[in-house]
Amino acid sequence: MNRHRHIDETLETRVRTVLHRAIVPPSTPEYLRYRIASMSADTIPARRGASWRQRLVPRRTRRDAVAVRVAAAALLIAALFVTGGMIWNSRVNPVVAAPTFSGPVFDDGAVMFPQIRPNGVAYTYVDGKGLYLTSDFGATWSSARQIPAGNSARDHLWDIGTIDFADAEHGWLTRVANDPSGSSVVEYRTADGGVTWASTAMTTFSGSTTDQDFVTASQHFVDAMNGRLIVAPAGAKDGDSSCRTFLTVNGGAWVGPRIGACIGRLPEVTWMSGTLGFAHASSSGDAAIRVTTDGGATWVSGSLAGTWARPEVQLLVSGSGGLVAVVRDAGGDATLPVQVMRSTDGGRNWLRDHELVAPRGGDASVQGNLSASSPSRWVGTFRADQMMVSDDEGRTWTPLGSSLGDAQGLVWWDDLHGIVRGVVSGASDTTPARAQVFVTDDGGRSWRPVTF
Amino acid sequence: MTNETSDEAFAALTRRQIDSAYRLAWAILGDSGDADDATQDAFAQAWRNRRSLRDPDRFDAWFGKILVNACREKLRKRERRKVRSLEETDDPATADSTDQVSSRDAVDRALNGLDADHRIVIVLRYWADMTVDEIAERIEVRPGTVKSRLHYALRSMRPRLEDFR
Repeated sequence: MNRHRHIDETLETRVRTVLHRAIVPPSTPEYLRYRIASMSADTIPARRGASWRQRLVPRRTRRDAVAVRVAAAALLIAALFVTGGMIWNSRVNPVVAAPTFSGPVFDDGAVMFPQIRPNGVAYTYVDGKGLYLTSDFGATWSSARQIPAGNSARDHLWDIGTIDFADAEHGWLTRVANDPSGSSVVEYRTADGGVTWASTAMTTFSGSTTDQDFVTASQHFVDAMNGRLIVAPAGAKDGDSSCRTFLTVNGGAWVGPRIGACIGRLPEVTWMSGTLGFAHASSSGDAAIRVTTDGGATWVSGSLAGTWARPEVQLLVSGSGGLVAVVRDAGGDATLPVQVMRSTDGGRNWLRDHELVAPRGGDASVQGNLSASSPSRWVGTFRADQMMVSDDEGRTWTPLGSSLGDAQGLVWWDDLHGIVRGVVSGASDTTPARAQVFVTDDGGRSWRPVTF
Repeated sequence: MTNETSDEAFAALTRRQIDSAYRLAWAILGDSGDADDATQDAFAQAWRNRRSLRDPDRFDAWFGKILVNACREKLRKRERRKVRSLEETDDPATADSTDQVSSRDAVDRALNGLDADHRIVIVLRYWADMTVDEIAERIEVRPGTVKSRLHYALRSMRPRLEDFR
């Protein structure tokens, strides 16, 4: 009896150890956080067992809508044929009466990950206050308190993910709406930093199946003139031939849509710069990465050498030695070293270069907190929220002397100027109320909170 | 929980649970897409059933049940898919590869060998470090049933964990 009990206890201890080592959940995706945080009694349908769209639209209405969609599609195709695909260029954009934004109320201070655009303008979204922009490394911020009206507060938050600013004045925001007459894309533009917006109803289209909702969008501008907008059906996966791509070469007159393959799992394309981006193309056990070096015009599908359960790219930089990626295995043993991998053929083949060395007492997994201020200067947040810097691609680390709790979305203008969403070190991770935006102008040695 | 003010309080309660809910869903399901869906479904269901929460202090336990049920639903759908694909192929080689994980990933293999109920108790007990009584309340069974499931699950996992040294 005692022997059996001893065996069970040994096995229990082993299982506990193994699970704690192997199961390391990733951070909650930002879009999921927004969706859940913006739920309310008004946005939750009563019925279960059907898609969101089916819950909202009666069956008969949906059936009737098919005919409307077919007619709309025929009209659209005819218009495209006649105008050579440029019908949106000729539209006059009405100015949208921009209501004061009143979104769902988060805990005070909840902010979106800051974004830095190629020309240096950065923006963040502060819940309950609106959109804020800076073009001087975070020293001063302008408030775009008004954004275009959506169907609900929930739409607003989701739309934030499709905002892109080419400079402090010119920005775009895209909203995808689904109703019985089809899915539609509406583009909003601002030329005054978000104070007023003009809208363009870009197109209405039906999906490949009658009840297909187009719910996600990824918008990216390489510069003020050249942009790309991809709209994807719900649940689209890498390689699905169901995405709609729109292009603009003059700052917002869109041409499209062109039906084509989806890249990654939209909207999870990660942009390291205006032109360099990557997307995870892997499913479990399939070690693949998609890389673009031209702002999304072309994508290279690459394979990662070695055995991977679920590779997760934490960092991608482009230097004189080619492309370098920092990859951890999110599906296997969490104690395995993070690999620094190199590609010298534009991202098609990736070889293991060296292991990222964890700082003493640190955790090499550096989940979501690794960034690069230049191809050779990396900054990571390790155990005890300590920020460290490496100038040799992660082989050695030097403490910066600063710490921020739950530092996420760390991005850099240059080696000195950076911005991050974090909480004051020592705060519990169950108190997102203390999340704030911090900026640095000394390479991360000190951080100051931004007051909006 | 009967008026708008209460809805606001309810919203605040749900927001505090987002991260922990996603982490637990991911731990149980081992897949980001399924964890997204299960977490979202659980919160949507919580909103629909919010009137049944009489004591806000009991929110964690109340919502925990909903979340685990959402995960169980996902796991069972996965099991049905697996059964269907095996029936369709009749190919032993394909059947052996249904885990679709690398040979190195012993933990996934071990968990994938369990059915939904056993997988859930293992994760709650040894990853979330809950007591048997807490698990019993969470999944609404008697503590003896939890112990029995743990015993069976551990016995089933033992040979698969031999690789994990």
